[in-house]
Amino acid sequence: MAFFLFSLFFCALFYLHFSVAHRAWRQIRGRESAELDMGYVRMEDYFGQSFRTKLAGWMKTLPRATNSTAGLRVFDKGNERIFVAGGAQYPAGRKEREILVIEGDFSCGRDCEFEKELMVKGDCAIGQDTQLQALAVDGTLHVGEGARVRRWVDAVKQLTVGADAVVASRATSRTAIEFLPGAQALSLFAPEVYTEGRHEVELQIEVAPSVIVQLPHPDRTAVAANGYDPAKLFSMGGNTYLYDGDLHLTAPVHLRAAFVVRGDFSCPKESLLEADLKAHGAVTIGAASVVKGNIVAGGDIALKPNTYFQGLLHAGGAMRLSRGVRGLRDKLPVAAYAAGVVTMESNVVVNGKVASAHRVVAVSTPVAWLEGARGAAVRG
Amino acid sequence: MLLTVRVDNPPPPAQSASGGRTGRRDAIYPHRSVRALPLSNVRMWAGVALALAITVWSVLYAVPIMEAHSRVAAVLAGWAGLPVSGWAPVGVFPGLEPASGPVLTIPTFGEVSEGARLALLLSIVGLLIVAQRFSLFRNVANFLIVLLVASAVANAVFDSFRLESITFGQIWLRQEMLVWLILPWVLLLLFVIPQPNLLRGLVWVVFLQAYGFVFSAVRMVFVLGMLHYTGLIFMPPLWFLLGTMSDLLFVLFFYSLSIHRSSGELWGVRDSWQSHF
Amino acid sequence: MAVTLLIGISYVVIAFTVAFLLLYAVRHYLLGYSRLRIDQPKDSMELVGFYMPRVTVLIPMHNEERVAADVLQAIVDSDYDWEKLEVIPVNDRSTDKTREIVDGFARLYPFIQPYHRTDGQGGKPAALVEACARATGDILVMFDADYVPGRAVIKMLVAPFADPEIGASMGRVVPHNIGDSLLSGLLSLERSAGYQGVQQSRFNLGFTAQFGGTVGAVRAAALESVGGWNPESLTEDTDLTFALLLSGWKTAYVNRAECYEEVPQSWSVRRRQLSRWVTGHTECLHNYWPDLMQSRFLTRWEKADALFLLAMYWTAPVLVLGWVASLLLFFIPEAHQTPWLPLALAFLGYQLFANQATFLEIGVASMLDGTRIRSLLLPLNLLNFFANTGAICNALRKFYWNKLWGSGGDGWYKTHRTRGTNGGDGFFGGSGAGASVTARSARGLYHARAEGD
Repeated sequence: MAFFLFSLFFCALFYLHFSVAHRAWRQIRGRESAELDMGYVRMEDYFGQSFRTKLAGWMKTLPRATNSTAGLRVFDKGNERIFVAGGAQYPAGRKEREILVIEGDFSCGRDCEFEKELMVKGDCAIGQDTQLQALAVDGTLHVGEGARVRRWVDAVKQLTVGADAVVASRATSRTAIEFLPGAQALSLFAPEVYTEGRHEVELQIEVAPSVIVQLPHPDRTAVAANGYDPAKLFSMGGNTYLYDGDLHLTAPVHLRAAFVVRGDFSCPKESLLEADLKAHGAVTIGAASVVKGNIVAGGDIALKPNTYFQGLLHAGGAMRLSRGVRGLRDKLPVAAYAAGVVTMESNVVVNGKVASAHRVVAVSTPVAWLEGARGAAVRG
Repeated sequence: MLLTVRVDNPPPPAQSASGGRTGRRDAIYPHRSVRALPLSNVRMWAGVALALAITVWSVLYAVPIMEAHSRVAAVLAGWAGLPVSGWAPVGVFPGLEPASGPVLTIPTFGEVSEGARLALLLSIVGLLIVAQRFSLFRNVANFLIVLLVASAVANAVFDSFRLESITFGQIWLRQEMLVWLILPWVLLLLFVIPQPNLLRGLVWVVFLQAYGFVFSAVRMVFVLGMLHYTGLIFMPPLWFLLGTMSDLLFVLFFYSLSIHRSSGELWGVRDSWQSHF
Repeated sequence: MAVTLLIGISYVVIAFTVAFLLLYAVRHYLLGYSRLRIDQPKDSMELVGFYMPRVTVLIPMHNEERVAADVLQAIVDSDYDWEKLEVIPVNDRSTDKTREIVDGFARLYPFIQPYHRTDGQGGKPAALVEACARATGDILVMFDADYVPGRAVIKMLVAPFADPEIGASMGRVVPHNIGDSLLSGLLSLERSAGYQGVQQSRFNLGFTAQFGGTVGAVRAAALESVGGWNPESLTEDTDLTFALLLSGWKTAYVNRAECYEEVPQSWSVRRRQLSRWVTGHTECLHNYWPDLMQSRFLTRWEKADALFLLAMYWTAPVLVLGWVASLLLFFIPEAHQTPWLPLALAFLGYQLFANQATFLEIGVASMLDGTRIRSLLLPLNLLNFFANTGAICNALRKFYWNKLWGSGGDGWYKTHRTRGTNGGDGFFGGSGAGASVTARSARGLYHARAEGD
């Protein structure tokens, strides 16, 4: 009898190891998964727009607080409040702990602090060294020198991210983003993203110089020259070629088919890349080159001065867009993304997105936009 | 031939068409696809230090640990009403002082009661029903049936087949002692390194090491009782289910609880995850 | 003498089991830990929407009246430009209302170009071979008929092709019928570990992801370069993965490209599905491993990973062998006194360490996915583990038996669908052509405000 009772105890103990699973199963039984957002579409300015939408909803549904004063409407939202004003100018050093909605223009002095989101329906100027949570502006936005934004900024008109300002997440604008030296952000997206010292230029690029490397080389038995060894070239089919090893060209290249390099790749100035390029290592594109395809690198990507790209850049390491680099094409915006740090020098213009898993940073470089180019400036 | 590229920044691409939804989510959170929980050196080295300490302690105090296990088993055997006549010394590992093994009669197939043989039949029938009705259990049930039948045939054919309770104790202790040596490292890999809370991970390791010790004694007494009342017929399936498989089971059970907790804590905690979206 | 021999053989078997499974266990742990890292250098999500080639969506269908409208509706609602989209529902000799549903959609949306097969070799691979010949897209996107892709999935699947080395891309399938049966609940854990854990981790580490053929895309030129689909294969997707790999093409994994699927809810359906996978997969192992080992396109680690992947179903019989050997040792009293401590330690270690390895992957995936309640089902997954082991052993036995005696194996088998069985309502509540057609989706990279906002 004692052993029978012990056996019952043992069975109960053994079942205990399944009991929680059993109970969990009873909760799950008959249910369907709802973990996916089937309506998800990727939008670059999602944060700003989502905040605007939520704010509009709150202001329609939330009760107005009883202690509202003249000229300032206050809405209670759980533990936080929303202050709504027509327009405002904050003096230096002011701290704001509530969500702030300004229906006109707004500006603040230096060293202010905004603990919650800020929405401005007019133009907005943020003072130096001010700290913010997030910022949505329907007009122009100037983020002052050294300001810190913990999350995102979104502007409908021109957005200027001042020198040494930091946006910890995304900066988006429907017009343009000026990204001044020392500024940092996780990603920048606008019809035009540009850095200081912008010049418009006309480049003339020699695409048929006396020495040129045609890739893929038509003759596999040709001798190695200009850093290119035809014996290392293999066809993957589908008009795509693999080069087994590093490829450091000493003459301009004319790339006409999709190309995969199992190593580092570099080409000198005035190269023309009409097809997609992938390198398992680093990619360096010489000055004043034209890149019509996409460039993907397992390591770093460096575009030397005045290079013009029309496709996508994707680096597993860091990326450097040297002075005078242009990224633009018809119909679709371009994108440059690196898992490491993206550095934008002066006079870089990208019509689309520049993003990084770490940070995008603008650096000040001497304006020498003629380097590597045969052309001349049409206007400064 | 010169190619002229006019880099004069043409008008930006057209804006998107209208018609999309707004306010897609109630809250902004990083999607699970870009989540991560970086391994930390602190977690790893703290966990390694604890696992090493437990292993060294287990090696140095192997005999006292096994003695303690036998004492716990003796108490449990008393509660279970097993007529254990004593605990005799038994060598578990060469070079170590002997530990104690239970002294209890284990009948051969010829000596067991009719009730035990009936239990064998009922078990097989029961397992057949389980295999028939619950498809997910089918393979386990079939495997247990094979073990039972093989065991019955082996016992019937080799009537002299016998296992002394001390030998059983020896095998059990040998197996579990080895498990206790390995367990801290398995727990380190599951509870400390890949989970966010270091302190809780270390507590899990110590707790589960102790739990494994007690759970082993309980299982041993149950199997001992089964051997005493039914002979060796049920030995193979019991060994299969209540041997290392049960060690696996209890680790898995507590692992599921720890994951449940970690997963709940981490969901929505922005700093724990990659912030870009 | 015979007893000594038996003991010796048992120890050899156990040693082999331990060694073989420990290798897999180490791999599981490495992949599990690796997945927890932040760095995902190959992540293509930032390029989504910036790379928009012409795409053909292929949907093989065989008697899919219960689910056809759902998948077509989902594609119509996707945010990919219609001008760059072609949809080919491949109606493979259906005898139900699949043809009517597909034609109904084609009348409403000119980019839907149905292809009705009335004869020829049966099975999905054969249907895909014929449909691909009609496709005009640079990228071919494949969905199973019972899958319901989200609005952004096509853009996400296409983004990795900006990399010229990528021959195929693979999205993630997420079971929606998790509560239909205990089996489907447990399979959801397995799927989670397989995609969120293993696929993502392997891709991050530079290994090729496994093309699944269900939420996947393939570069038309790459497909052509390897001779197209293998109509003889039971797992044409795995076959294609390795054919591409041998030619230097890689497969990308896009974890965010999630898509609902229906997992088997009864063991008989699951067993047949598993049997097909085991047979097809092992066939690929036999077909490809010599070429893989000699491939100039692969590094040593990539070769090792590919071999691990192809031989993964062998772990089941090896595990059973180990169990049998350990039981034999138990039944032989002479074996009890063998002081072979290191082997015993290794065996027990593998029992705990190796068997836990797959559960670690489930745990990691549960943490990343935030599936709290489901993670509690882990102990019950032991049953699934046993069930899978038996089914895999059986399928491998059949495979090698057929190989040995030259008899034909299992034919292609369509997984049984249960959605829409009660009342005919589909996933979106619409079961007919054009039912609940939603407004045209926004396609831009900017959020577009709806009227009235």
